[in-house]
Amino acid sequence: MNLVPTISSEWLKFRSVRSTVYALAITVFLCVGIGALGCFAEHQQWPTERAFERIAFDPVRTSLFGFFFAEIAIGVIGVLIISSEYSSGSIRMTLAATPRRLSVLVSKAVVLFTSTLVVGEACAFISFFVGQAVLSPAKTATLGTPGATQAVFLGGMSLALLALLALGIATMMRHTAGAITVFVSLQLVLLLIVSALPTSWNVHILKFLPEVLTQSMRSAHASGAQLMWFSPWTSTLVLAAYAVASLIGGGLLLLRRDA
Amino acid sequence: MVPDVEVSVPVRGRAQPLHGCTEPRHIVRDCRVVIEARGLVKHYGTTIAVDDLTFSVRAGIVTGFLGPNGSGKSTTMRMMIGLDHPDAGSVTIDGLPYGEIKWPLRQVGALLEAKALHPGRSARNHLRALAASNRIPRSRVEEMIELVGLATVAKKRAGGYSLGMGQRLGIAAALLGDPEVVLFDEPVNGLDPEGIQWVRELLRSLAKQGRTVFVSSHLMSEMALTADHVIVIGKGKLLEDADIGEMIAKAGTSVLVRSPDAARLAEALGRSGATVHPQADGSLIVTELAAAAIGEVAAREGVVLHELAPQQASLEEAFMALTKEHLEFGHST
Repeated sequence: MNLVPTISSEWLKFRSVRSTVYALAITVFLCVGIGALGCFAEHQQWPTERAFERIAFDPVRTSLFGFFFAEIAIGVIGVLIISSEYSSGSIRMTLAATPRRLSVLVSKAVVLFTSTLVVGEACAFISFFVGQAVLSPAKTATLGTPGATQAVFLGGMSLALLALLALGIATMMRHTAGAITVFVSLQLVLLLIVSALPTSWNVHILKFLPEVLTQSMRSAHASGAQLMWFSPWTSTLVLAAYAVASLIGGGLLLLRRDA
Repeated sequence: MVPDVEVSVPVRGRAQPLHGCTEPRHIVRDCRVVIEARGLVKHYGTTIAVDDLTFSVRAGIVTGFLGPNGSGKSTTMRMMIGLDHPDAGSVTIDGLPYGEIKWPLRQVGALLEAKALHPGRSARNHLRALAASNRIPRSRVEEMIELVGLATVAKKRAGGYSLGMGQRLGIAAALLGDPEVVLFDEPVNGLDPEGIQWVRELLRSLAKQGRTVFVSSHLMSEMALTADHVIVIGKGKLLEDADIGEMIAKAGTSVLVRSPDAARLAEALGRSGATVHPQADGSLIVTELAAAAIGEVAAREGVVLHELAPQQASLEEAFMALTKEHLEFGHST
């Protein structure tokens, strides 16, 4: 199965609409801007913080604070790459051109993963350096600090995996608004609900939530409640498993349903 | 901006095979069968959209696919290109199910609905993406933009296109791969009279090049002008599968007669076996007797004739009669 023509077609489609470009620009802005804001707040509080707070403080994760918001923008990109085809009706032309439907989904996933990984990594490294500059003279990290490079890299990767998760959801749902609602619910609403549960329960559940997985991925070291979470690499694998599962679900429905 | 006079489709590396259909309107039966639908069935919930439909479509002629709105035309066409899965039956193009064609756009060009494209993407990028998916050279994209007369707006976002422009872009997309088979669903919808004329000539010229042209419409009059053969369906069932000439013959003819002595003539014609329908304006519509015979009866009776005009019974009437029991209003499929 030669995917090159389908991938080049999907890549052309991906970059030829302004909404994609805008959403990626918003992603960068949220990552870097809100990350810097979070670091500035910490910079202000640092003199009054106590020793244990200073020890627990993770300058890497704080500089990547903006990712919490950028994840929503990335989810919208992942949703739109297929839901816009359903809302406009162009999915029919796409599937007429490539009747092997899984090729279409795989090609979309390749284009989406590659571009969001590039943007995600750029966001992560820029946010990291900007954040450390803002934090100083509070505790800062360099790429040489234990766990720092890994946290920055996995932080970028988390955006790409979330984009795939969103693509899978949108392929199953086919409607933009519905898919975005489901994605945001998984990211945020679920987090609020689970956090409201008694602590003795939620420590066992929290670590499975996508938002907690991504936080674990962008942490250089764990402390406190975070010690109950999956390690960054395990979190990466779990999030990847979610993305693959949603793509498989989407793929099965795509094959079965009429277009 | 409409190239309305000369419609020539640029042909890439084709030896113009006509499949023996040099005079398509006369030897339809000799043309090669390209599309074969066998026992197609499609349900949506409890309603049946397509009900055991079997027909074939030949190369080198224009085959019209007729039926009232909601009769299953679009559903059938979607099944032809693998978008909808039939509940039973199959459809093949040159012996292959659509899904097994290696580069489908190079073999089958389909126009399904106007403006089935992302509103934020330009016509040129839309066509380029389609071309890339089937390894069609980019030069072909520019040729098609020229052909359909969208050169001045090719860079603009498709969201701002009129229905007619969307339809032209759809036609450009369908012809992009220089396909042997062309499937057009209601191609003249939304077009101005000039555009309609252009589509008619395009369809005829595609057929003349030996391609298989399958075009749906809910207007018999439209098909009468372009099709060599018609397949008529109603409520998903096959009602008629005939050459356009046969359809006209079946529709029957009548003769309009005017005479200052209409009453006496009507009586005489009645005796000669004709059926006479007196009209409000004093004229007579005569069926079951040819114009020549009517003239002879009048001469014999010494009745003066002011007018003796054979009427081509309208195909539209024949079509209406055929589909009357099958009319089903509702959502268009």
